[in-house]
Amino acid sequence: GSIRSTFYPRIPVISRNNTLSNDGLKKEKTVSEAKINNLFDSYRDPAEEQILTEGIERLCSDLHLSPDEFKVLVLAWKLDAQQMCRFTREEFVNGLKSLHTDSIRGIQVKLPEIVNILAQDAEQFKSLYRFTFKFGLDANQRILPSDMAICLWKLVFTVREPPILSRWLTFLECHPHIRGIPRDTWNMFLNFAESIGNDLSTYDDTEAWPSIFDDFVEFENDKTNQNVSIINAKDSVCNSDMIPMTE
Amino acid sequence: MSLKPKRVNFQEIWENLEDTMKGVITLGKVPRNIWNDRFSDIYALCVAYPEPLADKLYDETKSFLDNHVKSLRDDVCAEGEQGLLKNYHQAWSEYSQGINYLHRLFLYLNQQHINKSRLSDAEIIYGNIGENQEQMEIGELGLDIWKRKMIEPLKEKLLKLLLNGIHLDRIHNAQQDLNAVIRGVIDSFVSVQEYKKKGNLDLYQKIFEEPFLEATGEFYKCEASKLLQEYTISQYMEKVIQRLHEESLRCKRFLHLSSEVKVRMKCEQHFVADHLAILHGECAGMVKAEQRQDLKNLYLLLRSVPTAIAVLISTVLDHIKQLSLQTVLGLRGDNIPAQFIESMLNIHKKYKQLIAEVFEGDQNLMGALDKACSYVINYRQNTNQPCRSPELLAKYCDLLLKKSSKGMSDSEIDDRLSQSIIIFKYIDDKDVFQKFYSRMLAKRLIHQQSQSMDAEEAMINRLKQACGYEFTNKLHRMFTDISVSQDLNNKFNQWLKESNIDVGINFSVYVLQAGAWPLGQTAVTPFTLPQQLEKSVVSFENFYHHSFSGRKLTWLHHLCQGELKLYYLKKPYIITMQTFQMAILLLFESNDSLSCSEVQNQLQLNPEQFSRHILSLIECKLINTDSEMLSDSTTLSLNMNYSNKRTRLRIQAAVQKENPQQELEQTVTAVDEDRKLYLQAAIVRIMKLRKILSHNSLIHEVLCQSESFAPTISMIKKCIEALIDKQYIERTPNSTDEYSYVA
Repeated sequence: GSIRSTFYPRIPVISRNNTLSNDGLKKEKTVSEAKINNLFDSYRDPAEEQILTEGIERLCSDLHLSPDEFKVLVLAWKLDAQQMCRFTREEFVNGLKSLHTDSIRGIQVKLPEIVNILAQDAEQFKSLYRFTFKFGLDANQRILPSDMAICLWKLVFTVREPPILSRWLTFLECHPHIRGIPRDTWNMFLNFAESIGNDLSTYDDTEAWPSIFDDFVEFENDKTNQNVSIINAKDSVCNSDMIPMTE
Repeated sequence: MSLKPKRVNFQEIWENLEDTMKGVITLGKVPRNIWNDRFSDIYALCVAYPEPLADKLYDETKSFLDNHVKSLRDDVCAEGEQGLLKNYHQAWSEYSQGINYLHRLFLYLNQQHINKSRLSDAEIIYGNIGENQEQMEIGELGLDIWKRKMIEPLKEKLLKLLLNGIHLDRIHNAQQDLNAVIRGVIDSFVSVQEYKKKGNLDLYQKIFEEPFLEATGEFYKCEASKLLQEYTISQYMEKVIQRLHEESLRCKRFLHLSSEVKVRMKCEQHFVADHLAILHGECAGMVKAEQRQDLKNLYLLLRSVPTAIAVLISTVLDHIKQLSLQTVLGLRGDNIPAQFIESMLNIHKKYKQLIAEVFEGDQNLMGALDKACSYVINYRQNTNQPCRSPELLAKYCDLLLKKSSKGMSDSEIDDRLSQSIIIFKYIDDKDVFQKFYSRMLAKRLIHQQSQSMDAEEAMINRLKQACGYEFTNKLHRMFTDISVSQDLNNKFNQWLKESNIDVGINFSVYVLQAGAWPLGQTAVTPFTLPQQLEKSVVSFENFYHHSFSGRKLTWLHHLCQGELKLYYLKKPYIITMQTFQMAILLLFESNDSLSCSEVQNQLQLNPEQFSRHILSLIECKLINTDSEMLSDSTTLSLNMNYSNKRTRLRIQAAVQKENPQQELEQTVTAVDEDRKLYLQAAIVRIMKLRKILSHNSLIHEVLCQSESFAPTISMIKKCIEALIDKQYIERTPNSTDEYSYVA
């Protein structure tokens, strides 16, 4: 069983390619750049060489997706989009080529496959996870605003949701003075969530975790400790330094 | 006589020899010529022809000694237990001497025959020793026989008598004449084996020391519980110390010196270790009441048992902590800084003395004093507020260094300042102290309030000694700025003379380095310089830029002062005032009255400064006003009727009132910023050197580098995070617990 599940994500990709090539070699080989360009043109902003918010909404609706769905994030990842709500021609064309598809139908077929892979493959997921941080930043931003970070955490963990996630997000929502999440904290959260599971007692604050995790664990421990009221716990966290938004 | 080997008649020679041996071993009279003859006989036997008779001689001698010791034993036992010790002792004294002589008589046999067949030292030390199978020198043989034929059979009886004798001594019932006998008997157990190279105390330990220690233990176990029942704990400790002392003398009197330590341990086991709970229980009360004699005794007793002293140490620590906390928190009234520092110094002095006198200056207890002082000095009543000690100490120094320290001699001031270093060393937030100190030093230097520049310099040097050059760097620079400025003013005046410039006023300047002084540029407010000062300022700028091109001068007028001579009144006055006040008054040179808005337009002071200085002039009655509330149209006029008893005076400086709490908080915030920068710089320095470092090593190195404050781990972590964010360092790709330097 375990072996099968480990290899499962790879096997269908190969077999899919095989069936495709059986169906018609041409279809696989001839991903047409012209077709992709046409597809791009049909969504792009009239004034720019980019697909912007309106175009993305149309693209999503043609894909039968809502713009805030996980699969859209996955698509952005596969297209290596530099910014939210924007696909450049280059990103779109290269991205679809690397997906070996040139049609809406093709994308619709590919996305569920990739989601499957992500659910199984930690390395692939890590790549998506790290991409998500950059994706969430506005131009010139280096730190992800907390509200955006919370949304993106919820979204990216559509698959592989760690048990600690909901407590973590509650902690952030309770502490509005934590205004932003730096890249290191974002990246380390994945390690943190994986290593901690659901048991905060194994947390070791002498390790190199970003200090916000210390605060989080302290907050959670205080909450479970009957002797300390939640109010005090909040106080103690509020005294700690804020993470600066800009430098 | 001839040394040549010859045929001998063993029996004949042996008979003679045996006779002489008897005389030697019983310390009888043996004439010199007989001794010499026997000596030669032994030689003759050893080298006898056709074959040497040494082995036969050896065997005969052995059986002779066997028989001799056996008969001695019978004599020793003749009176039963009654005289056993005495008789044994006497027999031993004789035998041990006799065997020594006999050994010499057999010199040839010992050296030529027995030594040859002996094992080498190395074989004895490292190899198996089969001593019984080889021949011994005659002296050793004699001792060995004594051990086997005399001691072994009698050992139980002897032991019983010895233990009894010592027991009688312990209960102060000893027969004095027996003491030497007991000592002698015990000694014989050691002497009889002394020739051995290895394990020469085995016999003594086995047949005497072990049972003796057991008996000692039993005795003192009973003694301890008896004493505890009869006496108070204080008396108990006295008695025990006396007992220990007696026992140590007793050991010296009776035992081999290797036993004393063991006996002492036995005693301490039963007097102290067995009753630790009781002693520890009394500890708190004694410490609280500071019963010196009891504490001294308790210390002596507890010290002997490993870890038992810890309770005393922590009790003392708590006591000092509570007492000083009480004192410090109870401070009320005037001059809190002096009260605080001096009461802490008194406490420190008192307990340092107590530890020296009562606890022999034990390092562990001195450590407890340090911990207690450091706890109290860094104590925060409210965890949200910064600790006040750094500020109080800086104020204390300020009071001492200022001109106004009333009625204290220079040496007294000097003494108090050097005492204050004791408190300084305990302060965790030394950087906070430094902020306060430098601010107060700046005020003293700029406003010429220092009592003596020597005292200032001495204090800075003391701080340097306690906390290093880095710490006092800025203070030193401030100090030198002042002395350099004097020189600079002389040069400026010289330059004015040479350039034929007359600025019309006496003018002197302090040039202060922006980085060293705690004078923020933010305090510089708009101000249009009065015409009368302009020439001096411009001249000085010319002079200065001529001498040091490229330096930028910022005029801190709000810190300056001037002297104004007033000639418009009944008598002339010389008044010292701040530059802003002077600028206002100078406007009245050409007008006797002006509106507020006119003054304001001329000077361009900000509204807050403006009203503050106007009000100060109104208050000292140099200026009159036509309304209580100042407005743009309010008319200000010179008070032509001003009078004062003194003709030379200083008017109240219009100082901005500082809220002490706010000041403290501002300082702490500033210090916090400095700390972050300091830590980040330290981290970058370390990482630049090490390139790759694990999280914990980095934290450790940073902690080692911060001398002037104790950073929290979380603070260091945040600085690491900030540096990751600024991409000075990064996590290594393969480990989450390791950082690398980004070049």
